[in-house]
Amino acid sequence: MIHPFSEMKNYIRKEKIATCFVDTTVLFSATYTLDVFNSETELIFDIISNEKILPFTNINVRAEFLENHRRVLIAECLIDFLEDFSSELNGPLLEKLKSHRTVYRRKIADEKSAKIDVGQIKVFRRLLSSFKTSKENGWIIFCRDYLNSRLKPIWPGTEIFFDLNFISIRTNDKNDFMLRNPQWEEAISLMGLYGIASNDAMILNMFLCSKIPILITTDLEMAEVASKTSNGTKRIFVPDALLSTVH
Amino acid sequence: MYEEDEPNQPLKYLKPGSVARFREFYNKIVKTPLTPEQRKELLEVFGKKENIENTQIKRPVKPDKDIGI
Repeated sequence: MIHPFSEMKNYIRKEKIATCFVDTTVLFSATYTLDVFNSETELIFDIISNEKILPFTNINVRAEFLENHRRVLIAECLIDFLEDFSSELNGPLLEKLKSHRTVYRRKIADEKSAKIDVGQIKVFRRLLSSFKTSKENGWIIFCRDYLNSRLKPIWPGTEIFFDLNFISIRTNDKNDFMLRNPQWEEAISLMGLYGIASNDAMILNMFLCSKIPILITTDLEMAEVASKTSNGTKRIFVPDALLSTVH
Repeated sequence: MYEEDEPNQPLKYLKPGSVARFREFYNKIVKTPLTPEQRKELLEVFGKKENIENTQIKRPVKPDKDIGI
């Protein structure tokens, strides 16, 4: 069943819930102030802390989380690069960077997420790569000088400040939080039956194979599939504003 | 994949104010000034010169084959 965030505290107290699973969307939302659900997800982490619930996640969430922050940081780094070298650049690269800066500033002014699209990253990669030294192309140099030092601390910082616990699926480990080991075939079935992305299917399958009774997400598709496939055995919590869009 | 990265660890509870502390940490992840060497290399790569993207790529023209007509 899907419930709004506003019901989570009472539910946890009533049912004496001790663990929860946080997916990529809720973790990213809490760490990115321009995310549309940032205020609500911040409150959810306060509840997790105050009610002393163990927050769990898995390696797929970590990968997706870093991918989201990569897209945020590349958008910022391209603007820094433009500010540093605008007088030295010309041609299509300069025009494309200026266009990106205009779109970025508009999003920030409107308090909207400024994540860059993956397709746009490919365009910049092609443009920057066309500049070369004898050793490296411009994209590699841009990433090394602008992106790398900013992306690297994100996950270590997230681990330190969010105290996340990982569910391991190593067969040799005894894991008190798993009902059974997740099978790849089950993840494929979730993709096939509900048309969800492979990474989401792996995250959801891990949750379904666990004893963790609560999933917290800001992704309605994830919530709906989780609700349907858990057959009433688990509770899914989403932002109130998100749930109101379907009622 | 990468499971060995996450050996079994003691269980952790979220401390109060974690999100605010993360935000403080995140806000410090800003652009670091370029070193003189980095700036020099970037200028060498991107300094005003003919950009491949600016150049109309010319397809090599194959000479017509003499097919004996």
